[in-house]
Amino acid sequence: MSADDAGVAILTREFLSSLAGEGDAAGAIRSAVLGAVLASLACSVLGCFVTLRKMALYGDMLGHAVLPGVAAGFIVAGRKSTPALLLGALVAGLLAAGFTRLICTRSRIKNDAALGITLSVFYAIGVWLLSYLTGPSRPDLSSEASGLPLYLFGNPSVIHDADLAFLTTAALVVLLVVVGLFKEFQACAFDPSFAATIGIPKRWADTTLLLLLTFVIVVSIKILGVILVAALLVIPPATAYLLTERLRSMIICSAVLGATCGVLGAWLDYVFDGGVGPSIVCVAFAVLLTVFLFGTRHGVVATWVRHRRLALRTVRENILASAYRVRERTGAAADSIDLALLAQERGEEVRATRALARRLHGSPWARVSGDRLELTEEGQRRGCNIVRGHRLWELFLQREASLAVDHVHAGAEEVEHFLSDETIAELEHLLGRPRLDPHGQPIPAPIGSGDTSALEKDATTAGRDGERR
Amino acid sequence: MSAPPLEFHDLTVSYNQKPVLWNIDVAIPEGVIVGIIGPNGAGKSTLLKAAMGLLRLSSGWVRFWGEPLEARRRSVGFVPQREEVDWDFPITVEDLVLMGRYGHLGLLRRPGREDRRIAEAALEQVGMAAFRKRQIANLSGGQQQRIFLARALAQDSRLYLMDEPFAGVDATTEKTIVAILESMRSAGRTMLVVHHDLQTAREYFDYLLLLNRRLVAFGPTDKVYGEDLLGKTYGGHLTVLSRAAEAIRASKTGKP
Amino acid sequence: MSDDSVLLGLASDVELWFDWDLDLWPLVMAVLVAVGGGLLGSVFLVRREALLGDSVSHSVLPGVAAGILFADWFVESSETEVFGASFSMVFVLAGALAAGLASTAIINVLFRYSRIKLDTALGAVFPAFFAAGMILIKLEASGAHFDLDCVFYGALEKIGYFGQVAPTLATTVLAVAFTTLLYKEILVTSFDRQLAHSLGVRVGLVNRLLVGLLAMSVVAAFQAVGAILVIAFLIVPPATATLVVDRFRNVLWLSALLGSTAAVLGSWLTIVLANVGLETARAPSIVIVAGLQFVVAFVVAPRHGVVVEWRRSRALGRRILEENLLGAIYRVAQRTGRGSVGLEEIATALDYPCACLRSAVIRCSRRAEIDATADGHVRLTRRGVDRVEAIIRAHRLWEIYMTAEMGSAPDHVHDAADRIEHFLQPGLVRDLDELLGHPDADPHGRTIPARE
Repeated sequence: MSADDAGVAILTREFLSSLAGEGDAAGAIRSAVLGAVLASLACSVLGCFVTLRKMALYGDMLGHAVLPGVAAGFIVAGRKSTPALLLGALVAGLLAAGFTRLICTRSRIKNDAALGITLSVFYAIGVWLLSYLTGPSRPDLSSEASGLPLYLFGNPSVIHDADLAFLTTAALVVLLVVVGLFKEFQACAFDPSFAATIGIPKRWADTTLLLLLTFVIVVSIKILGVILVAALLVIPPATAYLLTERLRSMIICSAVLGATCGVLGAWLDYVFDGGVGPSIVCVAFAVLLTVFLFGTRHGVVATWVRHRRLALRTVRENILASAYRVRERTGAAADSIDLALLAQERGEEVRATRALARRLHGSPWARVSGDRLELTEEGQRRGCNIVRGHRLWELFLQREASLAVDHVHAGAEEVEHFLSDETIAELEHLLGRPRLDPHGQPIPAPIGSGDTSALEKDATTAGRDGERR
Repeated sequence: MSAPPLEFHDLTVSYNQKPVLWNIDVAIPEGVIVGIIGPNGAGKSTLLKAAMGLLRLSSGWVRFWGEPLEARRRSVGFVPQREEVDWDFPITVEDLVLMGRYGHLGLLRRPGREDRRIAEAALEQVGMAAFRKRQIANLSGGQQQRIFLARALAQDSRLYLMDEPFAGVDATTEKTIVAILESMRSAGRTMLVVHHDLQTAREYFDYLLLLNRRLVAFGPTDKVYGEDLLGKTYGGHLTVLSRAAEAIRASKTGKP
Repeated sequence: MSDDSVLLGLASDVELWFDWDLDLWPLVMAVLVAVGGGLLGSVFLVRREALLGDSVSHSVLPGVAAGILFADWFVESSETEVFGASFSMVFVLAGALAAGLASTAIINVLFRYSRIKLDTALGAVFPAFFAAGMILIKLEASGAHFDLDCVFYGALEKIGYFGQVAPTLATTVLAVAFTTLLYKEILVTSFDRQLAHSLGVRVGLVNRLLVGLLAMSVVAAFQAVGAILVIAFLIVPPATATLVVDRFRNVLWLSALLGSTAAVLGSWLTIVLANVGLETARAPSIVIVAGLQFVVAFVVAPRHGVVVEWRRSRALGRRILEENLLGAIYRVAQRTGRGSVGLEEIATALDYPCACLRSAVIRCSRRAEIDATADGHVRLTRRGVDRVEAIIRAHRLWEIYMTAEMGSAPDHVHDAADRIEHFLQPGLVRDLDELLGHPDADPHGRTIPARE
């Protein structure tokens, strides 16, 4: 059923009203939404540990591997009884986990390949059984078994109260275990060897996590489907990971995100009929991308903005430093430097220098005025400091790192922008208050200290090897 | 005479069926700082990990005050190498230090006020109290090492095994760590420290354990720190051990 | 038909096993998928990127759906079956390619520009793409004749003519060409990326080619085996191959061979079962056969198999027991001064049950190291004595080595020497002797038996 804008609004209203409404249809929708929320919640909380322990692909494997268990449960029970299917799935999941571990420990096959083998072979067995059960050789089962393939995609429309009960149990158990065993899970996830040394039974914690994982996956596949349940174990926790600094906050954030995506996914499915599981996953992923791009701390955009700011500051400081050097060389006035001289100092075309100098607009340090660069006192001080830091660093590299004189410049060019006043003072102290840098150039005293001796040197002492910086 | 805090007897550890530590026999006395010295690949970290039960022993045993580790866990603290941890993990400085108290709490118990006080005190002692709310990725190498040490202090153990606590830290941190170790020694604790720098080894440690796949020497620093023993540790050719190790591996795995 | 009669049917009617009419096209398709999958999968397996295949096979779904929609719109032919006419197949392959590359690009971006780890990025992106694909398919289900079952089960049986096989033929040929012509580049980029860079190999290009080829192969295989089972072809035969052979080149062709064999066997089995009334799908049967191949290799592979490992450790245990036995006879004989020794005395000396020693005695006497007399006593032959003396020599030299070079106390060296004496080869013992200056006596003062 496709929907246009008006249709979306209408359907949304229907959706919301049925959440509170009466009758079977509303009840079904409520069950579906509740099921979606519970499944997402359980997966998102447990998923925090799964992702932190780098077991994300393990969840994917388990999601696929439980399929033969579902089919086997059906065969044994003769019908689609939820407990039977769930038990079968649980057994299949545990067998798969054991099989993977066996492959890894007893052969040279690595973990990722072992997961892939288990995943595909178990899944194939499941599909094989399903093809038999829904195929022409068992017409007696065809109506009963026809619902089984939906376990692949998730089908919330057949959520019974029994399923909700299981989901609620799963969510509660997960929450209880996570809260109760929080410190054990945290220690094992963060620093397993330390955890082992303080006596936290790591094997035991691992097994509990695995059991919980299997249980949660098994009860969630009816809503989310076999393939997508693994997504809910990874995407909301990954989003929370980008947003938080502490494990406790990460779990809460992930739970909230998961539940929200559950509701939104159910709503989207109602309106657009794309399937509940896929809708939830797509919403969750959209949120992840948004946080990834725009998160204030770690987001790509924020990082890019920070880089740009840094680049701008570097350009500006280079101009100020060059201005200081011009003043040093020619004895020109400190607060007004000819752009042509500046260009000469930098070895550039005047036009290029002017363009760069213009970037000082909006800063409290200098601005271009006609053919000159007008510096404020702050700007002069800054330029002097940069040069000071540069030369001290060169001396430091030469003395402490035994770098050749013609090699120290490049390193200092980069570092000069990052030397704080304290570091410069420390450098000076360490080097014993030097007067000259490796090229023989004077190390300026900070402007305002009254010491202008550096500026009154002879212009001919500029660099024995012609290198002047 | 009471049992030594740590004793190794005929300890052999193998990796992939190949012995990497051979028949280590040594008893560490109480209340001293011991430095484990040796070249790369000597098995120094392996020795600590084997003692802590993180690696399987091919032969021999390890005893803490005459008993196995499980009986004495509360009294033994381990400070692992920094690299082995995921620094992006969502955990703050104070959370990490508080982890040192987990060994004292049973299952299902949460850290209480006393535990937090101890953790806070440990942070103060290493000079990192101001960073308590910071996520651990935003710390320098020296700061990270300090909080690891704080975690160990919070454990309040009698014996500490430390794996390269001085690796990659700045000079100030190094001095801080040395000072802390000395104060711990004054409090009667014993420390076994894997160290990589020969020169500082002489100043920092009371005893030296020279190790290169086998025990070369163990004793007070001034007795052991000498050209011949150090030469044997760092320069000794170990072809016999290598070949024997290879032979064992080949027999056990069938891979020539 | 009940299960009993099925089994009965299978057992009794031998003809059923051989009465098979193996249609050509499904078989060709299966073999092509197996070969292409085996080759490409081997490459990803050795790069520890086995699950990239899993990832890509999920990620291509939206590309496939978009491609079909596009083709539908463009071609306007109402008989556009799922992946039917080869014209729409071009769109589908293009869509798959785009989706595959896009998903790996997003995974890389997520991983590189945030603190998200690689497996998390993988686990986030490909289900998301898959979900998007599922939504697309569901929304447009009425448009084209989508068969959702096909996506999951595959429809190998429905392959009936060359047009359907052609795309897979193309991707398989490409895979063969790629792995043959660019073998060196693939090898070096898989083994050591940095080395490859330094050699001037275009690592990024090779990687993108691989992923692109993978995406297209996966899609071409969809109609045969379904979206998920295609992973099996990428992982299982290559994994089986790595258990059996050691060189990459051999892994490549062995995977292709194993995959093809599984294809044939699986198809055959499906038909046999169908003949007795057990209708199953062909594709999963093939995968199950591949799985069985893996299990067999896991258990019996020469060198790495579980059975072999077990036999080896048993053989080692036996050898050590025999050597200990010979040694015990020697020592007891020396101590009591008699030539032959009773088995009970040996058992006591070794602290080992008498019964278990008997088989060791038999083995040693077969090798002419022991003479067993009628009254249950045993005596060493010259050969046995030589063997024992060699071991004692090794033991005592090692004890000296431990006290001299390893700083061990003399009373601590016996147990260690006891353990290692069985592993020291003659060459090493000779060198030990030389290193230690041809000593005559061990730390306990006992003489060291002379060399031959």
